[in-house]
Amino acid sequence: MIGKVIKYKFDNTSALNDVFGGRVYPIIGAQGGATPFAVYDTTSIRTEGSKDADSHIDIVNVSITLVGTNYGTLQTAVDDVRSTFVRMEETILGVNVQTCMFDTVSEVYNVDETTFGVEIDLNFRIIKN
Amino acid sequence: MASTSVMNSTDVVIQVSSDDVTYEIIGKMTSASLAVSMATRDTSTKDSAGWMEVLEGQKSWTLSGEGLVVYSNSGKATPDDLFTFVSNRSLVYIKFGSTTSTEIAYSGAGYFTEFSTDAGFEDNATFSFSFQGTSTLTQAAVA
Repeated sequence: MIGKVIKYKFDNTSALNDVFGGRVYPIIGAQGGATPFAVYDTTSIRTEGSKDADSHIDIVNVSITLVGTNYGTLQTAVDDVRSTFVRMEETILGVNVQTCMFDTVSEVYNVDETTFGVEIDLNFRIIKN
Repeated sequence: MASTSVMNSTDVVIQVSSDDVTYEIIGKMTSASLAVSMATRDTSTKDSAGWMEVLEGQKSWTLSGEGLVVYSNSGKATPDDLFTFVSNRSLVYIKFGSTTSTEIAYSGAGYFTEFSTDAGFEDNATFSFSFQGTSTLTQAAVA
């Protein structure tokens, strides 16, 4: 479900859409495809339940990987991702996001593809009931 | 007859009432505990050969619980209700156990002696409470 939120925000936030142009994919990106692009995936979900329900809040850990050939562009994009998602409070396509927290960033360089990769880990709190 | 399988702890709830007629379950609870104890009287003497000897003493019971804070929860008792009980020093009737008929549950009256709530940042707001029973705690099958 959180994938809808990520795709929507990338496509509807000008700072991100200007860079990624809709190239935002779940799980995997095409090798040799146009850059930059972003890949997102859910790494884990923890439920916050009680005796009344199995989950009132889902804590959803998400990894967003930005791939591109220009390191500076990706660095700016990391800040844009943080300002777009962190502490957001919005219902998007039926997904009720209470808030989002920034966790960490890690970087890699692919010699064969001559691309940079920046992974951003975010934690979303999704209201269930 | 109570279920022969191991009880699911989720089914164990705490109900509160001001009049012993209308009960409400405390909502969004994540844990509930009941403790019953009996104090002892020391009857050790010089003849006890170094072993402590005791006789029965006073019995007492307490309840405690924790939950997630939601102040608007129709049909359920909420954290503000618990605060009111403490603030007003109200005698409260209480039931501890499953609401399923034939299961064993405990009932009695007493006072909320502690209410606390914790709120960090970007996390769940939680509450907890302690309850001191007065007089008899009754154990019976749910009607």
